[in-house]
Amino acid sequence: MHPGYNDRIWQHFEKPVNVGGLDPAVGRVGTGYAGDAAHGELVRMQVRVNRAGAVETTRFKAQGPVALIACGSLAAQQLVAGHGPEPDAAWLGETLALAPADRGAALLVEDAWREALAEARGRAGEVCDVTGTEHPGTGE
Amino acid sequence: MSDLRFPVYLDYAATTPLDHRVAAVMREWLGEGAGFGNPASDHAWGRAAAAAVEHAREQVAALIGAEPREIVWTSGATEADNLAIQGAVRFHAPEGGHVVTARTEHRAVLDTCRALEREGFRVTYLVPDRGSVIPAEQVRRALAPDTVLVSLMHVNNETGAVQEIAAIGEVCREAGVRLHVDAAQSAGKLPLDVRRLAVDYLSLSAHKVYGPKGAGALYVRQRPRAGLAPLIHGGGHERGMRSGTLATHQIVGMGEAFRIAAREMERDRHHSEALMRRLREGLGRIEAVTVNAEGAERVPWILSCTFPGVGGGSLLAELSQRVAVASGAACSSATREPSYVLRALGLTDHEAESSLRYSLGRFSRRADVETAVAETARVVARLRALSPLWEEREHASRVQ
Repeated sequence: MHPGYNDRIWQHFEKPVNVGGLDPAVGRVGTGYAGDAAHGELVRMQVRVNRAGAVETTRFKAQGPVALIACGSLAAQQLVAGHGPEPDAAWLGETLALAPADRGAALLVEDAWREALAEARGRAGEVCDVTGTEHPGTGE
Repeated sequence: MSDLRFPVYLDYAATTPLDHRVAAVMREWLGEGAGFGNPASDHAWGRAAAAAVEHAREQVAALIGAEPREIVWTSGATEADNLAIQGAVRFHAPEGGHVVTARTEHRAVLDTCRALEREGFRVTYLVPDRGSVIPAEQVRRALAPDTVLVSLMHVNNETGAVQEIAAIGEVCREAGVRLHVDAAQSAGKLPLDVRRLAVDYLSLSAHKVYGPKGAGALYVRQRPRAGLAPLIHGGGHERGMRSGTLATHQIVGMGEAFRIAAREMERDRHHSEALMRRLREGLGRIEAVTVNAEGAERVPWILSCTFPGVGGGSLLAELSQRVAVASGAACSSATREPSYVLRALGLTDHEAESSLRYSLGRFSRRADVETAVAETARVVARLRALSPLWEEREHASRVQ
């Protein structure tokens, strides 16, 4: 509990899930960064996907405001859940009931995981949506 | 109020608790007893209140070596700063319209100067070095033929750096320029004697010295006469310099707080010094921590530290659950801007955002400092473990 933040944000900030890193050399791992390192605000999202492009493992690290850490944690949790909506900025903002001033953190996290997922799936050579459902390839 | 849900208090530079002895004196002037008279009234009720006000004026004057009639009551140091700067500049306007101050001053000074600039006055904002001190020579170089006022604080509220106001006063006196000093952070804590300092106006606050909020004063030198145009017009109270019915209970509280401060200044200082040694030693064990204004002479009750590898307010958000300190995000948490004071000292926005100010006082305990050290170390370590930037830094240092 914190007087300035709701319970969901505070819970993810205080006890973030899937914190850490993935070795890019092991499996189909993609890494995405967003933020501005020079200004001390950076989020790193990493995903490992299976042959079909479905997310198997996620890890994140973030330095910055409470909302950035909370969004990173929630996104990392949701990406690996394998069901439900993808954790885009709108979903993160709504799920955490982010204040307007904190919405930028959700955008950074979305940018980071999209970059990570694109890189990982590039390695998997598959075309899938975030939940891992395979789509027919376009043949391109 | 002792509520276990409240964090340990290490924010004495923001405000101090009311000393119980001050509260006892104030209570005598509240309620239905003899204390409610208007000090300006010419009857027994009024005269009783006026006598109490004048007694408090003597107590405040005594602390700084002033004459009682050189003390003008205000609502606090912010009003005193406004009155000094606007009042001096308007009074001396026929001589010129240039003011010298510094980027590291309190907002009460800076915003007043900005307002004067909008009216056409000219203001020079001196930039201190990373030690946060303005040398007297730097002030001398900034003086112009039309300079009428220099306004510099005694002790910086964010870094605790002490300005050389004696030397700066000499420079001003030589040049025939008035000097205003905001002593909100130093009066009652550091020896101050206006008989030995060439200070013309001195802002004082009650609530920084265990007195009540809403009470302050401005010292206005009589010899040589500093000169002051009033800001608040009305019944001609305070010899025409600040109209408005005096708040007897607040004023007697300030008087008592200053009386106690005069007696206990040394003891308070030794108490803070002992605790500060422990705080510095404890926080110093946190990797890569830096102390702001490290090179300057600093008071032993304010410590501003920067913690790399954490940021964006998350450090303060978590730490403030257990320890009440101030962020490097300006003096008002209403703005989320990084501290302009720390940025003026050369810190980046990010460094300012990952800074905290710890400030100690009369009622701080060793256990409070131990909690602050342990909690800071815990939270910094936790946030660094989450930080991709800190991970890179650690990796780079391992490779080296």
